[in-house]
Amino acid sequence: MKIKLICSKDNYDTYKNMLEKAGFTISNDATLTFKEDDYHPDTFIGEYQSSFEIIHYSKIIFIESFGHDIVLHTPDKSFSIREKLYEVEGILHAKSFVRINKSQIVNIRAIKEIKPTFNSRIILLMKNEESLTVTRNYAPAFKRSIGL
Amino acid sequence: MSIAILVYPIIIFAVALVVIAIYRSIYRNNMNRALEGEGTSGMMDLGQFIKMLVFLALIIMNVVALSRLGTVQNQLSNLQSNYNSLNSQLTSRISGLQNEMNDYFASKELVQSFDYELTDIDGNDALYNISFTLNEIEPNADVYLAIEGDLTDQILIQSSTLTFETDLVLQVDGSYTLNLLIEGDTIIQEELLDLDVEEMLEQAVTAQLYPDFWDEEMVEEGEEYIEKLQVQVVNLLSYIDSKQIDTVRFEISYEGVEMIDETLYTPTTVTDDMEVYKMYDDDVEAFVLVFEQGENDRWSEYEAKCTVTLTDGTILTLYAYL
Repeated sequence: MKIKLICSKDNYDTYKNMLEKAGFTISNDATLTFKEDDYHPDTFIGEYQSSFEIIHYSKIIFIESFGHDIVLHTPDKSFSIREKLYEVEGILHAKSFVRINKSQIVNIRAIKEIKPTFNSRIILLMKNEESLTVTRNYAPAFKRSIGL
Repeated sequence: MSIAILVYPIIIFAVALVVIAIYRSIYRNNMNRALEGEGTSGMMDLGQFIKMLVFLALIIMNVVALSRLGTVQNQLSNLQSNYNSLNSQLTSRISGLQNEMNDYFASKELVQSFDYELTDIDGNDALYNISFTLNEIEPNADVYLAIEGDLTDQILIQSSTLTFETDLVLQVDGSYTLNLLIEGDTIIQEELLDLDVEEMLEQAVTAQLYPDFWDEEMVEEGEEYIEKLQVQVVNLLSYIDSKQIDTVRFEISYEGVEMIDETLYTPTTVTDDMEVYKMYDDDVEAFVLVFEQGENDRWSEYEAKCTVTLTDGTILTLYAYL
């Protein structure tokens, strides 16, 4: 059975051997994930026009999903990444990222301006001039994340 | 509709718009300051703020509307009170005016009062006493009582005053019209009375059957009430000696079966427990028979046959039902 392994470099071999002994095959395509508790990677590997780049989370403006495709937006490019959106949410949760609707996660530090609306939604103008909407269900969590 | 009624809602709406705009600006600034870690927590969401504002506006408008409604209610009450007072005054004035008009027209009528009484019956003769008072009359004018019908006659009545009186003998089976005829410089004729002597005599003695009345006067026996019926034979001509009742024989039957056969020889004295059934005047001669009704009997099945013998020997048979 395939399993995806997310952990620090130091522990990678140890976990890999344990899992292979238990009958798992390590693969990035796996639906099952083994994640080290305290491990939060600072980077993502993004694909842009058939080339791969390492993107530090501080460069991310927001990440969104289109069906099975996950797109990571930086100020100048948009990358395709392999992680699922809920995985990204878990990874970036402690790094000032917050989910604003079912398909988007934004970097709070990349917000240029906040525009509240009368219908309890919030419009976010991002530093790359993209305009995103915090839906009503996610508005309380967003407000908490910015300290309100 | 007055425009003034819209002033308060318009003012409230305008104030609300200004407040919302100000709050939105503050809320927006606060959110953006929060990005730099300087935001103030606890501010109400814009949508919730508007809802609260609408709620407050509704409460204020409600209070104002209720207050105005109360004022209008009081004004309406005062108006109704004034109207009732005016109506009462007007009714009173109209009534007074009507009375004055009636008095005026009555004072202008030729015949101010008229009275007649059957004083005696002798064989086929009915003796009446006729009296009337006139408003005014020409000096030397002759006043006649003109009779038409089964007898045609004119009786000259003389009086030194404006009140005239005469006796009149009519047939007991006749029907007449009595007219007043004044012959002076002008001739005046005015009808006084249509008098059907025969009909009057036929209706002078009557019999009626009355049901019990639910009254405190009813006799209580244990927890059961005894319901009673009574037959009244009333004689309106009892003041005429020859027309007084000598005897009354009561034959009471229920569903055609005779239950009571009793004859009374003297008029009935009304006792306290009979007072409630009394349907005739005090000065009228009445023979009354009170009897108990059977427990499950129906009033409508009773029949009273009353055979009345008058002092002149006349026998009348009267029937009474319910």
